[in-house]
Amino acid sequence: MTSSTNPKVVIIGGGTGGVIAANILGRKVGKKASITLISERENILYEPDNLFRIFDKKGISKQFKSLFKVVNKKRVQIEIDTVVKVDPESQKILTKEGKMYSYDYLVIASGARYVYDRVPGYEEAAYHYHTPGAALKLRDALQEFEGGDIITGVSDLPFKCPVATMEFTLMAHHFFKRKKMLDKVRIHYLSPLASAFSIEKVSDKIEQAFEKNEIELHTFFNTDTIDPEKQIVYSLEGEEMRYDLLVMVPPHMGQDYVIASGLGDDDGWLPVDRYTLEHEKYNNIYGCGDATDLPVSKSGSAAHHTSKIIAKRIIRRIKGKKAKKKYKGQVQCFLMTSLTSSMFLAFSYTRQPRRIGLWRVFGRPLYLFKKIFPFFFFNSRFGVLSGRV
Amino acid sequence: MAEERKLIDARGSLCPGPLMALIKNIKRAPIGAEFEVWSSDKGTRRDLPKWVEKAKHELIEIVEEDDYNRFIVRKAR
Repeated sequence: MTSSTNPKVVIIGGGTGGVIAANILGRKVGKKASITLISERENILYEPDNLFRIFDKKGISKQFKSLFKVVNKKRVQIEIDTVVKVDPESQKILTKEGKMYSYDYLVIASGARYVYDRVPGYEEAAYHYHTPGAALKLRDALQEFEGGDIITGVSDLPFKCPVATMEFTLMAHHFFKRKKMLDKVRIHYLSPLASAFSIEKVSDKIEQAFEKNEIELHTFFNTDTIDPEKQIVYSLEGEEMRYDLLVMVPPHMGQDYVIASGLGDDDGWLPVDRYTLEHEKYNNIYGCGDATDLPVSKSGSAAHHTSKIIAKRIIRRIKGKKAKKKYKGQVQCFLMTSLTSSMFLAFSYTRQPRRIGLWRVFGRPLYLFKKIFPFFFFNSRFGVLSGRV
Repeated sequence: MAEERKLIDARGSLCPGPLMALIKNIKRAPIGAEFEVWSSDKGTRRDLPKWVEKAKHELIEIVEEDDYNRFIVRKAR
């Protein structure tokens, strides 16, 4: 049992980063500290499988698991509630249910949210795959699509999982190839950058795949507005693209309570030191994964790595020792190159992928590994969420 | 002349971080707003001027410091 004088750690957010941090802290210091996880939802979602749901016939229920099954309940108190404000001076948290929590260390792992009306016309016009429900709607739209121009891209910056747009594009091409409809379908990829992707070596491979598959790449196209009636996307650069089917990543923002608490920038992203992950003003507040303004991909992989660093730093501080572990920007991800093959990418703040070749050889095994990855993700003893890997 | 020039310190971010930070900020700014982007990444020297030209904004100046560049940009439309 913990006493009232023991250090209190509160983690906001029951996604990948929040659960991993909670499990590591519970395992390592759960007897000498009070660990509380506050989550808006009772279930954790495995988001990467959204892309598979677009093209298969499965339901979405296996993408969810109850927090009470993946978090160590003996060492971590789980509260299903919504945070409305954090007072960093008094170190207190207020929730929608009217509860007040005090903390010595706070981990903000509450991720990003989708704000559809941030881009005019988006909500009426666009399909996406950033929620399982949206992926199922897109599945129906693709099944019913009779031909024409498909526009894929992003509606705003920043956004989660930058490789997903390329994955969708290549998987959609394979889908229409199987349906023998490539003579009727033209796929256009809108990139906000000067190239298809931010990392040159990856970008080169993707651009080669686009060229081979006659997918048209449009660079420096940053969505400004969408006209759902005329079916046109207008860019900040002054260009326009007409579509028959629009598949676009929704606009993202940080959480409202981060803005209301004065802890984030105007869009709700938490400013943190890129190595220590401590808030720029409050060193007992840590930012994890998507919730931050870190210069890395908003992704489950970044949430995984940052949560482990944060947990280790807090453990050292609770033990009265100097926190040493630093985040070096590590991110790993799979990049689907068709419905049945994948690349694997690994990079950091200072290291671009040195070698991503041989994906034509290893593409199939990597795809199979990606398919069974949810088992490793959810396994509460040795999987990703346990914080042991 | 803009009343205040917004500083975007993107030193240490790899390309296209500095450019994406500029695009994100310029998108919701009023016409005439000025930005000063600090970038230590060589790719920014290549891509940022290209984007500013394509988007028809104004690249007022590039100042070369010892280990980074300062890009002064005005939102022109």
